[in-house]
Amino acid sequence: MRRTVDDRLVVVAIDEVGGLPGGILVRGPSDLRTIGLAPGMTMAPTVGGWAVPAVGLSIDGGSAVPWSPMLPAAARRAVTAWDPRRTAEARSVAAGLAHVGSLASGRWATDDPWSTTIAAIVRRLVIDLTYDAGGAATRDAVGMIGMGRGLTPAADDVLVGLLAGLDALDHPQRAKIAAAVTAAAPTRTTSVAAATIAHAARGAYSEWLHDVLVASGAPHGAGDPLPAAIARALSFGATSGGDTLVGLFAAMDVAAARAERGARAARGARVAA
Amino acid sequence: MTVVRGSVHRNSYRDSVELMAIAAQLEGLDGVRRAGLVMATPANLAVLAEAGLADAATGDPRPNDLVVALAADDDATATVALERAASLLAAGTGDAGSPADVQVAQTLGEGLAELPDANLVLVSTPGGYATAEAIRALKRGLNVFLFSDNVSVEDEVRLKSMAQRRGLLVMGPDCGTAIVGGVPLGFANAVRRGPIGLVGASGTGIQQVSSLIHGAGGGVSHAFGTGGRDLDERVGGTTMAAAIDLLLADAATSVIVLISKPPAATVAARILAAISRSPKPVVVNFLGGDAADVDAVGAHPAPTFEAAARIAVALSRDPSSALEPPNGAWTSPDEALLARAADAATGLASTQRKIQGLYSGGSLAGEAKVVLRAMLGGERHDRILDLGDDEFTVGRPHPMIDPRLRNEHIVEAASDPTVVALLLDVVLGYGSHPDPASAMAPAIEAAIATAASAGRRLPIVASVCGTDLDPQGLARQEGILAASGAILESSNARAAMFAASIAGVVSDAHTPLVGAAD
Repeated sequence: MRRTVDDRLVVVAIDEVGGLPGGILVRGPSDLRTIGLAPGMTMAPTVGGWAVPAVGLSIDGGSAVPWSPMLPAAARRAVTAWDPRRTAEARSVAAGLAHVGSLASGRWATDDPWSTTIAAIVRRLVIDLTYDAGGAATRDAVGMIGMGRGLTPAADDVLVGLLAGLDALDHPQRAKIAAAVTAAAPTRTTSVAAATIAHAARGAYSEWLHDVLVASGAPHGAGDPLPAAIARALSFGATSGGDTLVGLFAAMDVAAARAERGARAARGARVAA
Repeated sequence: MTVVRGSVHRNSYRDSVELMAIAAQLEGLDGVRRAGLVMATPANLAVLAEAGLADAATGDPRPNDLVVALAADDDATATVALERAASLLAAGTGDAGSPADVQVAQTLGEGLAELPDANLVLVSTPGGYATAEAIRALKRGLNVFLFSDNVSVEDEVRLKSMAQRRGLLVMGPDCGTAIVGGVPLGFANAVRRGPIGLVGASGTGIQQVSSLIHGAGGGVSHAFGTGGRDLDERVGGTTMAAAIDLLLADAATSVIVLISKPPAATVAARILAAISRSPKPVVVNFLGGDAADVDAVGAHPAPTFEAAARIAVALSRDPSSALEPPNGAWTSPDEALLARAADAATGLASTQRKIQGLYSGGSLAGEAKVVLRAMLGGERHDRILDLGDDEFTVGRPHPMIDPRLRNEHIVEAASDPTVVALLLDVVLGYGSHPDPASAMAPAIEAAIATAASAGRRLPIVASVCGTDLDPQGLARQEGILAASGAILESSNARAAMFAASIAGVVSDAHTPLVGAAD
């Protein structure tokens, strides 16, 4: 078992899910509801671990292994491989595997106001962040909190992926956005989503998201770890994993657009010289 | 008048896919115009307001509450829909039936660790990654069902050569259908096991033939898909030849059926040479191809899928069966069909000349064209569309999964005064829409009503490709379609004959139109 808990809102999941910020991973049945656990239950720390009094469950923390949700160095190095082709490959894999109707599939009903609105805001965010328009980006990020379906509304998952990507990029506007969404989330979205956003804002992400980031830096071709990492991400939640990837892909778009912008500026400087 | 109603479920947690599924079910109820289920966050409430559903969120809902919002024709409908939503939420539809302890392998290695005796891998990754996965599988001695499309022809040749050297089979790429040892792969129907082995370059062709074999009391040993390009000159029919060898060696197979569009000449020669040595009877359906070539090697030509199924079943019962009517009989209607078609043609306007086919199965569309040409000649304005073609499916699901695009075409076709009959296929089985007839029935009813409002009758002729064992149930689907006003035929070929017969009755009294079938 791994122990990663330092927050008020705790997630209990089976070991196969991989490390989670604020998560306790246990060995048990795939569906923990079969042993009585349910969302919203109160957990209490005990001398050797944790307890869920409502169902008389004790979790032994004696052999817990710590795991850090902060981005590994390999995830930060991956950004050097982020170009339009790599982003297109990643999007293509995700679109092929995601639930039809979800953001990651790229295919939803034209009269679906949530997906249409979120996709439009994400497009704006890419432009805002390409040109360092921190105020506009912050307004858009805060404005999308709580939007979409699910216990963690889709836009909140998108924000988590975006924050992870901007973290890896060391984007200059990330801190401003992170502070704003952390402050706004508690009154604008579900408790679970607000906690997830708060984790992401402080740089803490799920292990499967680490894996996608690291894999995004690998070369395309035989042995490319990206499809498997994306497939694993898509299996997280119903659409949460895919929605998170949409945010990450937006950050990859930002990286490519900023690189292109930098190259244009350099060409302009040479011409001027 | 539209009424907006809603309900709030306190601290209710449901995943997004479940909420989308419930919303789709609510929108399928008569009189429900719009439905949405979201957490009551300020952003979602704002979107509801923009969508005209603000009145649904009453009672000061909080972000951890779930809002069901809907617009309906009247209060009674809204009440029924909200009750339905409550029961679906209580039933936990998103979780129902999902096995709790199934572990999902993420890699080929993990899968083989769980199933070390597996001998086949289904690859369904995006095309750019599919070749590498298929090579991995072949290197491990595994046969491959390659569902992925967008695999280059060069990669296809490479994969199939590699498989040939190792004595393995690569079905695909873009292989939609197979039944291996009774296990359906991709889009396939639930059919009885039996002595007839199929090899097909056509997904819905295999589905139609296997379903009709089942319907005629026969059974299928294996059905191998080859992928649509296998009989192309560049690929050379490698998979079809390998699959024929497998069926020849298979003790459970006594009759072999081949299904394809006409192959390239050199490939046809290779395939026909292979079956000329077959000790087992072989039925060949090269849709639109030359029967004489097939006859010449001692095989049984079948011009339609229905013919292939009926000949194969007869041969499986008696290898010396003479169930081969004179050339052309398989595309000629019997007296009973002609009489019913004449009845259906009564009162059609003289402007109604053109048969409009709206197909979800590409090969079924191809079969319809063959039948129409055989009965009516090629110089016509009939329009047979394959709505599963890339042209129509970019950015949207295949019509076998989501009938909405076809429904739009059905209603639109009813406004065309030149249409003499609408021709539809409905494909059942694993992978297809869970209840396609119910999803199409409102469009069929609307089309009939639209034509009637313009003073016309519009015969809508349909066939259902499926079996009584399919999850959707053949009889139930046919019943729903018949109740909506469609004329049902037992096979696609017969449906096409019926439509052609109607057109024939109408055109007998008028000068034929000039043009080419497309």
